[in-house]
Amino acid sequence: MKANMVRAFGWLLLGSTVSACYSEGLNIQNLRGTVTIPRAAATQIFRDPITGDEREVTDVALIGPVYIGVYPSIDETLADFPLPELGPDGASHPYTGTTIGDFRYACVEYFTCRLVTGRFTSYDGILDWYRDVVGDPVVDAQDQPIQTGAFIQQTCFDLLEVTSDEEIRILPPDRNEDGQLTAADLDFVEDANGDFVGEFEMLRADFYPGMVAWAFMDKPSFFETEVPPPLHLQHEPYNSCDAANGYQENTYNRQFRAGLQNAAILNFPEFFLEDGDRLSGQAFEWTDPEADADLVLDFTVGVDTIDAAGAN
Amino acid sequence: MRTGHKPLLHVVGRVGVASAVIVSSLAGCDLDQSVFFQDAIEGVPSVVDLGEFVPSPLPTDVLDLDSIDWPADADGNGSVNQTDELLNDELTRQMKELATNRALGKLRANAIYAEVGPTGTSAIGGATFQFVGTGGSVCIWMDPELVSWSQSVSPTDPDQDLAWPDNLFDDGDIDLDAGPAVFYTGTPGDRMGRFRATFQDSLGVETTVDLSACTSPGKAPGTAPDSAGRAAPEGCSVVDTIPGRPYTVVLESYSLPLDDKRLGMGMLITEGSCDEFDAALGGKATSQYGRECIVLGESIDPFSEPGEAAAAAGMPERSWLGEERVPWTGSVEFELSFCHNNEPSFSQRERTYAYCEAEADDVVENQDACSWFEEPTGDSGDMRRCYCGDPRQTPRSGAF
Repeated sequence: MKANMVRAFGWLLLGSTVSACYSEGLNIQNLRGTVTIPRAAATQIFRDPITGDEREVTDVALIGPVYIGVYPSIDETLADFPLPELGPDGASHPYTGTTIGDFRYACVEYFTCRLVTGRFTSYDGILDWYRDVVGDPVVDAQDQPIQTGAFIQQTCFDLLEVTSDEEIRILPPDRNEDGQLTAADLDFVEDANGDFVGEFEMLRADFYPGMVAWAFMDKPSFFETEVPPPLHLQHEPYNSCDAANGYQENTYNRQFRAGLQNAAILNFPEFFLEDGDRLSGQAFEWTDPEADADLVLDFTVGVDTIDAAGAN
Repeated sequence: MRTGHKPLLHVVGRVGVASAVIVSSLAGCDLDQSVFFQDAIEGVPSVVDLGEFVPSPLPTDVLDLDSIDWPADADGNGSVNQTDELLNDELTRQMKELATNRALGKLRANAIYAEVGPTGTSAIGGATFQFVGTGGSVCIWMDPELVSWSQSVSPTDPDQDLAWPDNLFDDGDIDLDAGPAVFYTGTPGDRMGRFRATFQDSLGVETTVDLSACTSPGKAPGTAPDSAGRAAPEGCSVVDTIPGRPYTVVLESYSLPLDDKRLGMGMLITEGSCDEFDAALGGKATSQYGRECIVLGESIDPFSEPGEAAAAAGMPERSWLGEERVPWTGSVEFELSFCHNNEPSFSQRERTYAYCEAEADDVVENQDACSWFEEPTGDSGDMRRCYCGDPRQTPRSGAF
């Protein structure tokens, strides 16, 4: 009897061991890499619509949201620029993807689809950018210019019911842990060549050897308006942002949506690419999951051609 | 000593087999969830294939109005003033209404009607039909029985047309889809399916994709088509069909009426996209209330005979073509009253609230009783079919 019990226990143990060894054939990896934005892509000539004065500005604030997708391959025959291969339903079917910079709820309607996270080191910096560089001061719910960054912070604390900037997530974290937020903490940091490099990671991603990483940036654009007077520039809402979605504010005179990346952005990138947007002319082929992808957004939609850029 | 264990093992073995049998039986009982599903109805199909149809041409009656030039001096008094403008506006409105009705008449003559019932199991029921690609776009329009609304109970800003409750037990919901027949995973007339296919990408990775070609107007790429909801009509375009290619239209029973469990529906299939369909009907397909009257009479009398024209066309039982279907008495008038809501050209007496009030008065006068929760047996008596709900159920202030 005792021998039978021992035997049964042995079979049970063996069974458990075998089941633990069962492989589902899944290759799940943590993938990492960088995206380089050439300096020219973070540079804009701002022309004063009244005086005609021009000034060239290079700033991380001119780097729009960057979308990174991982696909089976890139096809150069679909459009005038490289695009991920399409399935029979016309969608690209990415294996995984991520972004560098998000549309987050920035607590005032002015920012809906206009503000990308990780591009500013302070709330005052955001106000300064829109007032002094773009020439369109950020306004509150009463259409009055906001004078201090603390107003944005406090409005966020109030509406989101949070108590720290880390929970608002508009400003970057203190990445280098030096106790202060500087340009070195932003999503994109200037390198020795004057270009801007941002890091990304895609955790627990399906890995298929030979798959390629491909990225594009929705570049910010500006238009002239007289609302409110005088004639001035205004930041156009990002094309890749869905203004009808995202966090909903519905309190007193604040009734708006904060905007969100369009749900189809990685499946149908061609619908969101416009002239001036940047994409990676060369995709990164991933054969070793430990290797870091490096993508350079060196292809300008509407300007470069596949042959001239020598895209893969 | 070892042989001494045999009887014990025998007993253990028998007990084990017996336990296995009992457990299996119990598991079998547990899997039978039919108690939660509506019973199938004899003579009413749960999954039906209606056959193949040719898209009808779109009537041009409304579109032709654009080419009419009204004389500036409409009243012919020798001078052009505001009166002429008002006169022309009124003439245009009346002409448009006449043209829309003419166009609707032509389309309704080709309407397809059918009735579906429950499957009796967890399987999804519904109907299918086919058409062959024309090379252009095709619009499919479907209206399930009958009309439904949320009662307006606002004490400060009520919608008087909808202040009477709906009978929520006599309506159903059908979800519309369409796509290339080759990708349809169901078996028409036997089992409902979807438009799915598995493909291998260039790395050999298999992905299952939705190949539905049913496009709701204004939808973003990659998003599912809209479903209109309880009793509301819905339409979708199959854009740029391939000539000669067979397409399948799927009408999935999302919910059946709770009272008699049988759902009538009316369909139209026309050439051109649903935007063109809407333009040909003067904007009726996008009108909040007016769209309910593109197809009329889809609540079919359960005691009516099968359609002769439908039978001649090889369609199955409980299907009809055009005006040969027999609607429940009063259901068309009820639908029309709903379409008149919020329309300034119709008086309050022609709208839903007035219809419901008159129905309630008639029930009292004839000493009938509405069969809201049960299967109605006729348009009078103790189990009368009532289209409107019970006003005594209207929520009061402070009530949950």
